[in-house]
Amino acid sequence: MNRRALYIALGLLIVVNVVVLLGVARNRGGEADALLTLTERELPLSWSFRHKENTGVSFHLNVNSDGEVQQWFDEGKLAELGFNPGQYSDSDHRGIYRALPIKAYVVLEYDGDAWQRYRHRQLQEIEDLAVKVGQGTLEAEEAKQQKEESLFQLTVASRLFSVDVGQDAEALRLRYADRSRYIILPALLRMDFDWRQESEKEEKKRHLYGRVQEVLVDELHVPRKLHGGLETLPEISRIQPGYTWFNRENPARVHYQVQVAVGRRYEPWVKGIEIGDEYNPVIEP
Amino acid sequence: MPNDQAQRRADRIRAFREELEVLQNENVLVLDEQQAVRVEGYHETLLERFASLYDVDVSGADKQLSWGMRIVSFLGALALSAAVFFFFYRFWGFLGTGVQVGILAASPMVALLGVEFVARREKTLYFASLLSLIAFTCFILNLFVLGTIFNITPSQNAFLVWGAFALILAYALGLRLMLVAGMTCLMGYLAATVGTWSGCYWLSFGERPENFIVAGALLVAAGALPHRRRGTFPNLYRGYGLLVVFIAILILSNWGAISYLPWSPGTIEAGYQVLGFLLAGGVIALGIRRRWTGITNLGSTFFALYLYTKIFDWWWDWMPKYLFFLVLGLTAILILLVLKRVRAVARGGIS
Repeated sequence: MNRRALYIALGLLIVVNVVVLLGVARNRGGEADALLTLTERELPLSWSFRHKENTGVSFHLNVNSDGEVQQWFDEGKLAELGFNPGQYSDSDHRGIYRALPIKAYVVLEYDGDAWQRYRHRQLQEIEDLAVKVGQGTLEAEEAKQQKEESLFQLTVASRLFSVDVGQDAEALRLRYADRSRYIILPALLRMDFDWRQESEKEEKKRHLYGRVQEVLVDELHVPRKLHGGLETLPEISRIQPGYTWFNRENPARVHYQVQVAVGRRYEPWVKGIEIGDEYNPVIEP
Repeated sequence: MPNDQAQRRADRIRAFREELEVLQNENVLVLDEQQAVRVEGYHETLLERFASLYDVDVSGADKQLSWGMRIVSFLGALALSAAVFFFFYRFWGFLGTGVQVGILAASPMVALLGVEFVARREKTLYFASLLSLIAFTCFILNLFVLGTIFNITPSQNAFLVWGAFALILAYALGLRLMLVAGMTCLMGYLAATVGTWSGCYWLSFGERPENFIVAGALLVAAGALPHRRRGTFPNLYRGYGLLVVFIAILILSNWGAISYLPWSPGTIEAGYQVLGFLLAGGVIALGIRRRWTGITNLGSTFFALYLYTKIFDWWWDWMPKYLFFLVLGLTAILILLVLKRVRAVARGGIS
C-alpha cells in the first residue's frame, strides 16, 4: 500500500471518530433539554442483560402504548406532520399500508395526566368487576384473579406516555416547558387504521390515526461505573421490557430509579442509578 | 505493471505453450531449434520475473492452489471478523467508557497498520486481504458501538464512511473483496439517501425497492469511469450494480404494492415485468457486443428467472405438475436455441 493511501485511510478513521465524539460532547454540554428521574417501570433492564455473549448493560425505554390515552394522534395531527390523510379517508384505500413512516419528535410525559387517566380507567374496570359478579356475568374467582392482575399492573406499568408529536423540537419544548416531566426524543411515526367504534351509537367505521412506531433511541447504555447494584438484582422479580406478567409467588417490583438527561441533540443518557425498595407504589384495592 | 496484468500475461504464455505443443505434434508449425530456444528462454525469463515480482501463478497447479488459498483466506477473514465482533461484546461490559472508546477507535487503526505491514512483505496479498476485512469489521464495530455507548440517533452517513474506508483499501491494494464491501456500503448509503428524498426516514429505505434501482444504476455508471491501474474493477461495478437492479425489479414485478408509483399493484407489476425482460435482453446484447462474459451470463440468468416466475404465476395452479415442468424444460431449450443463434451471429460478426 502506498503511503498516501495509508495516510488517507488513517485520516478518515481519526476524523470520523473526532466528529462522533464532538457530537457527543455537544449533546451533553450546556444545559440539558430534559432531566428527570424515572424508575425500573420506565427503564427495565434489556433482554440482553446477563447474556453471556454480551456483557454490556442497557435499559429499555418502556413507553406505555395504551391506545385509549393516545387518541390525540388524529388525522389533524397526521396532516400537521406532513402525512396526507385525505388521500385515504374516503374510500377503502388499501394504499394506507404503503404510506411510509416519517421521522419527527415525540413528547413523552412522565407521571402526568395521561398516567392518571390510564390509572383511573384501570381502577374503574376493577370496580366494574364487582358489578359483573353481582350480575352473574363473571365468576367470583375469575374476578378476583383479574383484580389482582390489574392492581399488579398499576404497580409495574410504565408511567411514560407519548402525548404529542411534531417536526419542530424547539416548538414542542416551548409547549411542554417542564423539563422534569416531558422528554422530547426523535421517533418514527406511522399512519394506520383504527376499526373500533368511536361511540356506542356509531357504526363500526374506519378512522385514520397515527402511532409512534418506535422511539429511535430506545436502549440506554449503562456505563460500567453505574453497574454496581444492578448485578445483584434478583432475576425473577425484575420488571420486563414491554409487558410484565403477574407471577403470584414472586411478583415483579421496582428495584431502582434512574436519573436520565436528554441533551441538545435530543439524545438521552443515564446520569445515575439508585437502588432501593422505596420506589414501589402502594395501591389500595 | 499491476498484478492482474502480469497474471494475464503469464496465462497467455501458458496457453501459447500448450497450443504450440499441439501444432508441433501435428506438424502444422515446428520451430527450429534456435527459435524454440529463444522463445523458451524469453518466456522463462518473463515468468521468473513475474513470479519474483508479483508472485503470479505460472502453472495450472499453481492456479488451482491459488483459488484454494483465496477461498481459505476469505473464509478465514469472515471467521476472524466474527471473532473480533464477539470478543468485544463478550468483554466490553467489564471496561470503563474511556477504555471502550480507546479500544474502539484504535482497533481499526492498528488493523490498518497491520495491512500495510503485511502488504509490504507479501506479493499475493492473501494475508493483506484477510487483514483488510478485519480492519473493515473493526471500523464497523467502532461506529456501531460508539452509537450504542452514547445513545446516538442512527444515521445513513455511517454507510458512507464505511464504504469510503473499504474503497481506499480496495484501490490501494487492488483487493476485490474490499471493493465488494465498499460497494455494499455505498449501495446502502445511496438507497437510503434516495429514500429520504421522498420524505421517508432513511431506515425505511428497504420498503421501496426503487431506491435500490437508483443505487444500482449509479454503481453501474461508476464502472464507466477510467480504471487504468485496476482493470478488473469496472466489471465488478457493472456486475454488482446490475445484480442489485435485477433483484429490485424481480421484487417489484411480484409485489407492486411496495412501489413508489401511485398506480394499482397489478399495473406496477406488469410494468416492471416488461422492464425486467427489456433490461435483461439489453444486458445480454451489451455483454455480447462488448465481450463482457459475466454480464451476458447475468442478463441470461435473470431473463430466465423473470420468465420462470411469470410461468409459475400463470400456470402453477392451473396445469398438472408434469405439464408445468415440461413447459419449463421446453422453455429452457428454446432459450438455448435462441442463445445459440445469437452466438452464431456474433461469431459471424467477429469473423
